Amino acid sequence: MNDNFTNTTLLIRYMDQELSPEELASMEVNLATNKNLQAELENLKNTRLSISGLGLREQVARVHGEMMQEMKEVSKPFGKIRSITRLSMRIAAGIIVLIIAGASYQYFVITPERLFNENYSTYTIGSSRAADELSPLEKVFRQKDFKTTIALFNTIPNPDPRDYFLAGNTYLEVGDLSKAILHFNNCIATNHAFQTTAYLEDAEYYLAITYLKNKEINKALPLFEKIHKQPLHLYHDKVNSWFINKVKVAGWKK
Amino acid sequence: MEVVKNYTDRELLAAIKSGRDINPVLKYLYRQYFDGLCIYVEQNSGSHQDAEDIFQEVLVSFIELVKLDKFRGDSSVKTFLFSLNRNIWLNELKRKGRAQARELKYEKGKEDQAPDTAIVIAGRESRRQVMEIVTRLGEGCKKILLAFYYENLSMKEILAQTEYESEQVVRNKKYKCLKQLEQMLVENPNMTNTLKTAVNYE
Repeated sequence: MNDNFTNTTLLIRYMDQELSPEELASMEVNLATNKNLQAELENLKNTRLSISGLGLREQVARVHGEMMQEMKEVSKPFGKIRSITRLSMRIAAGIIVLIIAGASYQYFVITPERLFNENYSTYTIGSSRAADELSPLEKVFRQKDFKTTIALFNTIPNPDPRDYFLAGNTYLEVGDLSKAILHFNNCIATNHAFQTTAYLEDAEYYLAITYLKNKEINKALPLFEKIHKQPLHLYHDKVNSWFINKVKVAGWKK
Repeated sequence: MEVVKNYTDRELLAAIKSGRDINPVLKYLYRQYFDGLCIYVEQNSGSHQDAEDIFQEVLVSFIELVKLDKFRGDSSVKTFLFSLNRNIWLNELKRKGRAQARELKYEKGKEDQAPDTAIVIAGRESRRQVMEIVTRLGEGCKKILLAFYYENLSMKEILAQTEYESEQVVRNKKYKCLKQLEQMLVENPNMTNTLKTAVNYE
């Protein structure tokens, strides 16, 4: 073992504070006078600093790897939530656009005339009833002989609700809306007067739809709403919420 | 599940100087400052990868300065880290010869880093070269030297982690490795001159 090696070993032990008190005292004397020894100690301290630096750098690099993973995992759910939120908002926006487009379309195409045509069907007397069971007015009405029906109706001195109802339908068929309205109203009034319900619900529906054709939405709407609110009404199925809304739209455009 | 610890500036500095494991401190610094510091680099011609690399350099410099007692909390840790980040990124741009470095320096008006800080930052490149030399020593040497000088493990603890026969064998190996490394560093005087300044901090 040469002197150099011995000196270096002692210097390292000095730097690492491993010398005995005697060795330490001797080393401090030597260091105070020996410039080569001082230079080597400095180099050794440089070396130790480099090692510490490498250790710190490697530790930071390890933590960096862990933290990048952690941050990625933390941002993932938020990213997913953000994507879901963004998708939901897009869908909602799409739905709103569709609703607006649909509403705009409906607004422009809905007219009282169109609603009437979509919902009106000529009243027919049930074929199950035998001809001999029918009144003369019913017979001609069933044959769609509207001219004779009107003529015959006008000969009846005291029409009953059924007569008024048929007369109303006949005038509706021939396009005399004011008379149709008059006789549907007569049908309802007569029922009220005699506390009967003959053709009452039929008259309500046909009166409402005649008002619609006559562009009297403010009179048609309450009748439709009344029918809609009564589940047992004969014409309840024909008057759903969507139809009520369309009637309202037709009223706004008026 | 890991408990996330929060620190006041004073607690943070104390934890770094204590010599205990600094992993919790490093993780805290990442959670608190990583995003903010990255934005600065990315807004000044850097990529996200540049920002990640610079943040690691910022942490290394910060820990070293605190250990050398060159940062005593005169400003907040946040302000100091942002200043380090800006200066290290400026140096990096200079090294790359980017015109952007001039603009950043002009924007800054004057050097706001303390001379001690500047020295640590300037010595960064030399230290990086030194790290490469240490790495060339081989894994056996590196492991023993890091265990003793960085992790502050005793010879007994190092023996338990290695396959050497005795503490004396480990001690001899450590001397040999350290001497070998010293020789390699002496052969690179430019590098060691920069490091000498840093040694004088101690």
